[in-house]
Amino acid sequence: MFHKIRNFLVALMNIFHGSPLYYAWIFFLLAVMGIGLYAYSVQWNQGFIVTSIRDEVSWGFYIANFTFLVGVAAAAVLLVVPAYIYHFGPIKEIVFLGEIMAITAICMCIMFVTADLGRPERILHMAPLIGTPNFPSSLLVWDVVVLNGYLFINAIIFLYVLYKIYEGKSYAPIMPLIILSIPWAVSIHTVTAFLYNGLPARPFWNAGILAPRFLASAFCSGPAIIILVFQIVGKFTRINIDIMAIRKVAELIAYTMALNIFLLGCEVFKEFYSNSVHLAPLKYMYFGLHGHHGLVPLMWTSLALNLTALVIFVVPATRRNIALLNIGCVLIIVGVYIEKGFGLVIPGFTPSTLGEIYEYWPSGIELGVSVGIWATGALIYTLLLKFTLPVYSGETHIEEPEENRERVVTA
Amino acid sequence: MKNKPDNKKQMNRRGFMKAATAGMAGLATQGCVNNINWDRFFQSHFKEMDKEELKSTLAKLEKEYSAKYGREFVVKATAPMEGTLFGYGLDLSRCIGCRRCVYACVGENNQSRDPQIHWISVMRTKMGDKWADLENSTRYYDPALVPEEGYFYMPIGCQMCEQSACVKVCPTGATWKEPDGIVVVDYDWCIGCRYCMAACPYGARHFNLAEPDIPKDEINTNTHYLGNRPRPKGVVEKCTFCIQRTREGKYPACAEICPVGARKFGNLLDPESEMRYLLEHKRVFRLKEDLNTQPKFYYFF
Amino acid sequence: MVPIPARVARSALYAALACLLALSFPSAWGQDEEELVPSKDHPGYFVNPDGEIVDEFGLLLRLFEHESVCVRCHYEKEKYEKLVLDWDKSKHSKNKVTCEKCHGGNPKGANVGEAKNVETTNFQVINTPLDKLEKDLVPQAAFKYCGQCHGIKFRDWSFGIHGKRTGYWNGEKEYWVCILCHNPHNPKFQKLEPKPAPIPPSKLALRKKDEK
Repeated sequence: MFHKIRNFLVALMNIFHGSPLYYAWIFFLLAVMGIGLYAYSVQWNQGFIVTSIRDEVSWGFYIANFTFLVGVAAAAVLLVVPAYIYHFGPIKEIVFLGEIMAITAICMCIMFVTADLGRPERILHMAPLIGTPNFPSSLLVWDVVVLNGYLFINAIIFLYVLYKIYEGKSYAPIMPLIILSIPWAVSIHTVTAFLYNGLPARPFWNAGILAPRFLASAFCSGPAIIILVFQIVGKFTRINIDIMAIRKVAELIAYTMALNIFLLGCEVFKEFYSNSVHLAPLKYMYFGLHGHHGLVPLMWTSLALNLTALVIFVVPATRRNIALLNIGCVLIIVGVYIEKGFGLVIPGFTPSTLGEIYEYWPSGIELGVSVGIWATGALIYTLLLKFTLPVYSGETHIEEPEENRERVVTA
Repeated sequence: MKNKPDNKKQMNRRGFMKAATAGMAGLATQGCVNNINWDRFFQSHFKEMDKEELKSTLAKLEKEYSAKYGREFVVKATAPMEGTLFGYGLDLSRCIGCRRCVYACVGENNQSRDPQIHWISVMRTKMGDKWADLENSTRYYDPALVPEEGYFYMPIGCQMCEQSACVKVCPTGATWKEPDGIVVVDYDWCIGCRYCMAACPYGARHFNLAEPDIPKDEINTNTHYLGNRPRPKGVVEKCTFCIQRTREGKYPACAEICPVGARKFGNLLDPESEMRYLLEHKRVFRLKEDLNTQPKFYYFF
Repeated sequence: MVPIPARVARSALYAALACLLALSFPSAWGQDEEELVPSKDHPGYFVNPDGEIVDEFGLLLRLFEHESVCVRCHYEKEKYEKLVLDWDKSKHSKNKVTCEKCHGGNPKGANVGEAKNVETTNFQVINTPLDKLEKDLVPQAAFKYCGQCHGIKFRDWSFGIHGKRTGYWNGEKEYWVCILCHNPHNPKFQKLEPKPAPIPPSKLALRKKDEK
């Protein structure tokens, strides 16, 4: 036991060793986090008046980011399935990159939700025993349960598998948990969709297609981020990323992308053809309503990006061209970020339940806090990666108890 | 906090420098800790307080508010009366849109003047216009005299739904429906997630965007724990049918002030009440009935 | 039949009445219309050589249209301008609800004795100013006078649906009678100045800076 803890600490020390570039990156992130912390202190001291959130649009940029990131976290499942279930070699070797991403994304989700609370110090009122969680009635409690559960499951799987790989032993005992993580990944995004979906007051969200749309868009933007991260990691570390892994993920994106556009089309048809009063939010998004056009340029940009990306990913020739693929990934990430951030949260509130149109646009403070949280996420991911990689590649030399000396690192 | 934050929304260069140097060192953390009212932090949920705790909590609040506003405060926790279920009626053909009710409510219920919070929104709609989605209505009309020709007015506040969407979604149970039908909020239990505001179909819930500002000479010192006691920043508040008045038998402030007598209030369980007569003899509708929220706020004409 | 525009009909009626009256009171009504001066205090009305406020035909308003001539004897400038001009604008004036309908009396009576020799039990009530009236007589007045025409409103009022009640929803109430809200001479509810509009969310920001 002593050795285990000691070895863990030795491996942990890795995060303090790095090139000047590594240190520059870390300090850059810390500085941006400083901005975020400052912005948050302003919000804390003065209240939400410094944000653009008002009674009419009561959720904004924080919740938009939260929703996007839940999708990113859920998308890790697209690596878990081929890796652990189908034992697809190229992905199996790098599945941990996805798991770290899920862990990071959930941490960011929790930060974004906390930033959105008017009284974050009372968050334990939601906890069992100490507080009074309104369970099972409130979907927000469900969301807290599934998100924290997902964080917990992924952290356990990640640490356990890493440790077993390091020991050169089989990680089979944890397979049930790995299998559980697959439906759980779907559940986090479904529950998040239900959070919006269950509100009859907001016709824009109150459509059965919402959860499938959430999953489809998550399963194209999440893997797109993963593809980019794969390449960055491959460039800056000794980890070798098999092009086959990237191709496989790109293929998955092609399917989900097409599904995402299809579902959007279903939604657009239903609303515009039936032309009921519930059309207003969609009309506001794409064409403007009563002279308010705040989201129109953004939404058309998003649609154009998504369609372009769809073409890139669906045509095998362009998908295999790595430069085009990367462009496609960026287009998808930006496209889905707009679609799910601005395009989901804000039209839900526009027009408001009393028919008022308040054109929401995040304030400087909100942007500052959000950038800070993104930097925190990047820091978490970097440090986790820095901790994991040497262990994974067998670079870390650790003093071993006698009986373990002959161990060989297999990864 | 020594470093007074910029009121401007823009993050400027100075802000960055400040943040990058002192920010991490705990500037924010210190501010955070100082801002918490620790006494209230350990307070229980209203429904979980026993008699003793409730009594001491009310005394503590009275002391706190009296010190803050320099006047004697009464904070009650009057229980609901047996056999009452409150209902509200509003005569659309009478309302002239004068907004007397809006401001009587602000005064009675200690709403923040800065930033402004109004529990009642008076919507103006052109006669003959589609108004089901209220999109063609406005609450910002400002003529010299009301009523204006060709318009009608519809005040909207909390509809006190029997199937309250807001209560259903609250993650901490900080808002609930009392036995007499009033939907209330425990301002010391609300975490400010604003899920209830997203869920409310009537725009009846309002968020304290900043520390509420109420002039000392205008504050109403006769308060109820679940009603008009001063609220902290960062929590949601709403109409309570003037719980501090109605649980003592009085009419709500909005009904008392209405110059045209368009506002009716009473006990739905009492067959002799004005509300029951109204329901039986008038053409009545409830807002957004298709959502099945079952409001106890009836519009009639 | 071609419908006659109301204005023409009214003018014709006025003209006819004017002739009739001119015959009966040659000295009072013999002046030409040119001598009417537009009233400064009451836009739309005129002042005749006697200093009376009259309409554009030199007539004392619709009272005469309805053959209700109380005001010929009871003319007091202040009261007349305050009450009769109000009444003239109201729906009551168009619907033949003339003085005697509420105040009692017989305007067609040849002399004072005849004019007042009518059975109107509440004659005193309605002719006493509100603040001098005994408290429990106020509702009676409302029932008796407004209620005799406005039956449905009166019924709603008695159940607390029309009009206003203040006090206790489950106990002692104050019943606001008709004339506390409606001016009996011009009952239509008068327009009010609205309270300020709310601040729209786009303009909602702290007005005062923290002074701590």
